[in-house]
Amino acid sequence: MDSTQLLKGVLDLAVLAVVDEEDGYGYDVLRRLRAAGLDGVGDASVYGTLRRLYASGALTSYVVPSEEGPHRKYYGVTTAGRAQLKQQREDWLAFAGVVTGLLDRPTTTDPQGASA
Amino acid sequence: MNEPTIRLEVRPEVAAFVDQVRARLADLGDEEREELVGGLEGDIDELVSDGGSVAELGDPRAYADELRAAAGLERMRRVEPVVGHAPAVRAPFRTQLAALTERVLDGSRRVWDELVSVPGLRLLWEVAVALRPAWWLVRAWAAVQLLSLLTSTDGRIDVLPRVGPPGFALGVLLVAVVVSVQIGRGRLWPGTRLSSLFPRLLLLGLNVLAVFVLLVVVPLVPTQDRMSSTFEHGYSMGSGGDLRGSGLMYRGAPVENVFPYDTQGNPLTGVQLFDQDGRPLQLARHAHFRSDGAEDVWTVTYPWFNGGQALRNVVPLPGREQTTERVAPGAWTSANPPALPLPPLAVVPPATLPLPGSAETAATDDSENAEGR
Repeated sequence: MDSTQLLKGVLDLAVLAVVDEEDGYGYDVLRRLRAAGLDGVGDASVYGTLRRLYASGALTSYVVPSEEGPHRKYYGVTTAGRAQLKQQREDWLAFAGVVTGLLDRPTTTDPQGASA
Repeated sequence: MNEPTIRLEVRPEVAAFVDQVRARLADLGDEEREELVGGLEGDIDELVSDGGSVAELGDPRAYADELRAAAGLERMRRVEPVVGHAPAVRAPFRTQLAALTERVLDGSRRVWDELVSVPGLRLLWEVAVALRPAWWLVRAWAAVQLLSLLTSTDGRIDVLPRVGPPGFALGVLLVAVVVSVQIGRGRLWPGTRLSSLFPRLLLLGLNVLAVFVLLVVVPLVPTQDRMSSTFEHGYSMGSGGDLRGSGLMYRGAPVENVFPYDTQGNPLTGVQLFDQDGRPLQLARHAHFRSDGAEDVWTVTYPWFNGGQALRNVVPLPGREQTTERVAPGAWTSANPPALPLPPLAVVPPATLPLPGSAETAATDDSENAEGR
């Protein structure tokens, strides 16, 4: 299964988790997501998600002047964002647990035999 | 935060890319758009510093769409197929053509939207949008004028289209207005299906046609000034009479009658006039109006005849005074038959040709010679 399809549902969670570790600016967050193994994630998807989480109040942002390049817009997690992260982490773990349990279940019936 | 400083520090290809992304998001409010795009220069610039390239980001418009979708902002307009997601199998030519047409239309629309979002033009555009119902009325009128042009025999144009009797024309116009307005409001096909290519093209074509019809029709519509002059002209010619240009003209005005004189200067009657190609020089039917208070008096000219055929190229034309402006069939047998008018001048100076060989000049020369001997 294409991991980008799976990612769509949990990109908020992944971004929140990364920013919660340490405040970061757009490209920094993207790099850390990719470094963690989510290399199929799109640039614009991450930046858009950051903007949306900021607009919904889960993230805060501040500008840090940079000496060698443009200013950087850093994002940090707010209290509301932490609550959201906690909730979504639980949802994800529960969901992943169910799916994992489903996949690990030993096969009891042979589909071919059942239909015959 | 100082915007120009940021720009200077960003690589030009990055700035160009971000500008294209920004343009794609033109429908968003300034604040919302900058919220989305702000910091993007820095992020992409760093990507390039890291060994990446702007090219690997793909089409800036697709990038903008992804950014918008991830940010949870709805597109303000029709959802378009994202460029760069073309199907792997080559689509049939017709489908490709349709897609291309659609892209051209969407592209033009986008360019237009960006153009009219310039602050100076935005106000004008908003006024124009508010005036759309006026266009719905005008194009309905144009449609009926087109109908009238196609069905009319003389190609004449009036403010009220000439389709059948005036009451009927008004009805047709009313129906056209209702149809046009309902299409404009998106209540009537093709106005209801503007997400599909064919209705969209059809509506575009119809609107362009309406503009063309207006360009043709409007200059032909008689203005108040021309209307009254046409009216007077028609009046002076007799309302049942021929219109301007159908008879002998002199300095832009129809000649009412012609009085020929011979070379001696004496008036002639019954002279037939032909032009250089042997065509009869017809005098237009003419009725001259004068009111003496109690009743209308018309002075009307009558033709000469060759058997049953009326000749209006034989001068002077006879005339008579009567109470209507029309040529009466029984005029010649009435108590008041047409009569030859008196010439305006009893005699005129004689005329000669200076050429030898002409009978007149030759005779004069001879007599002079005889006297001289």
